[in-house]
Order: sequence, then C-alpha cells, then structure tokens
Amino acid sequence: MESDSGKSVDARGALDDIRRARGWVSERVGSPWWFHGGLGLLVAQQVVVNGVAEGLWTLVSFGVLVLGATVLVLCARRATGVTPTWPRGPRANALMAVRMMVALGAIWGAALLGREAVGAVAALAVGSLLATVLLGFAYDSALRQDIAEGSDAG
Amino acid sequence: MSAEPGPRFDEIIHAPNRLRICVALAATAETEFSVLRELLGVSDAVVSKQLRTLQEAGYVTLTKPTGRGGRVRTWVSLTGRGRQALQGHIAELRRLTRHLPAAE
Repeated sequence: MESDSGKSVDARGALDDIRRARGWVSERVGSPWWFHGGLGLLVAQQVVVNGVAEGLWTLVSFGVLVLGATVLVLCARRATGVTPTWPRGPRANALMAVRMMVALGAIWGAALLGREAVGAVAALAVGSLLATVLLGFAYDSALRQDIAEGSDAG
Repeated sequence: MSAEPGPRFDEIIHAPNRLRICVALAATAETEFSVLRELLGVSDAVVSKQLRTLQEAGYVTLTKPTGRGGRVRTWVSLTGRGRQALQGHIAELRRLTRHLPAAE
C-alpha cells in the first residue's frame, strides 16, 4: 500500500494539474465576438419597441428577445464546444446581475419615456446596446477568472 | 444546497487524464468531446476509454444529439455524483499536501 508521504507528493502534482486544467478551461469559456453584439441588438430593439409602441408589439418584441437569445446561446455553444454553467463565481454572479438590471432598467425607462421622447428612447437603446456589449465582455473575463481560481463546485 | 463532501481519495478520478476531464467538466455545464480531446492532447480512443470508465462509475453522462448533416457531436457532463466525488477528491489532495513544505 502506498505511504501517506508518497501520496502527498503525488497529491501536490495532482493539485498542480488541476490548476493547469482550470487555466486551460478558463481560456476556452467565453462567448464568440458576435454573441454580445447580437444580444445587445436584441435588448436595444426591445427598448425601442417599449418606448414607441405598446400592447401586442411589446409582446412580439419580447418574443424576439427570448427567441433570439436562445438561438444565440445555441450557436455559441456549437461554436465553442462548451456550455458554461449559469453564473458560478462571485465576480461573474455580480456582473450577470448588473447586466440584467441594466437591460431591465433600459426597457422600463423607455416605457416611461414614451413616444413623446423618441430621441431619448433612441439614445437609451444605443446606450443599452453598448452596455450589453461591454458588460458581456466584462462578464466573460470575470467568468474566466472565477474558473481559473476554482470558484466552483470543483 | 448540499453540504461539502468530506475528503475522500477517489482512485477512479485520480488518474491524470480522468482528473483533467472531471476538472474541465466541473467548470462547465456541458463540454464537447473534441474539446476534451484537445485538453488532454490524446487520441479519440484514449478519451473514449477514460469517459467509459467515468461513465461506468456514474460520474459523467454522454449525450449524442444528431447535428445538421448527420454529424454527431458527443456532449459530456459531470453528474451530481461525479461532482461530489471530485470535490471529495480535491479536499483529500489538499489534506494530504497541507503539511508539505511550500513548493519552489
């Protein structure tokens, strides 16, 4: 039977291996460049529709947002060969929350502004697009860091 | 939320290639077979063999949805049991190295 000290040396090598594997995976996760742009456009169209239209159109727009986001996720999964888990570490969790709040805030804000402020609605839509893209890249970066540091179940 | 599993050395997971596979799978919801092959830098046959061992232990599940044009991609994910075993194994590795002097 293997001694505990022999096992310890082996264990250190295994822990180094775990760190390397996490580092490698952290480089693999993250969305393709087009993912955040696509998501930004979907959020922006919902902001515009909520600002200038009402009733059925907002529902249609919401459907486009949900369907489009699903298609983007499936395409990203296919392109990267990896399906990231839902936010997993402290940084990724925080950024995902901020990202959702910004999108919901912009959609809600556009509804408050209404048709009388088309210019402001358009600015809000552009702002939400940019914020979605920038926060998306920040989220990817946070996710990579969380995985590399092992902020996960493993 | 389940409690952290206690330290437990797992012979199945400890083999280097299987350990790398489990660590990669723990960081993702699902990973494609070719990504694991790239991670290990070995042939398809070697990856398949390691996955079969993990599957028989109930640590991973494999799904093969048919892609467009008939291409089959194999997706691999860690089961709850596999995740627990990995956590226990990593805890045991940490316990074993706790008293060792720091590496250079």
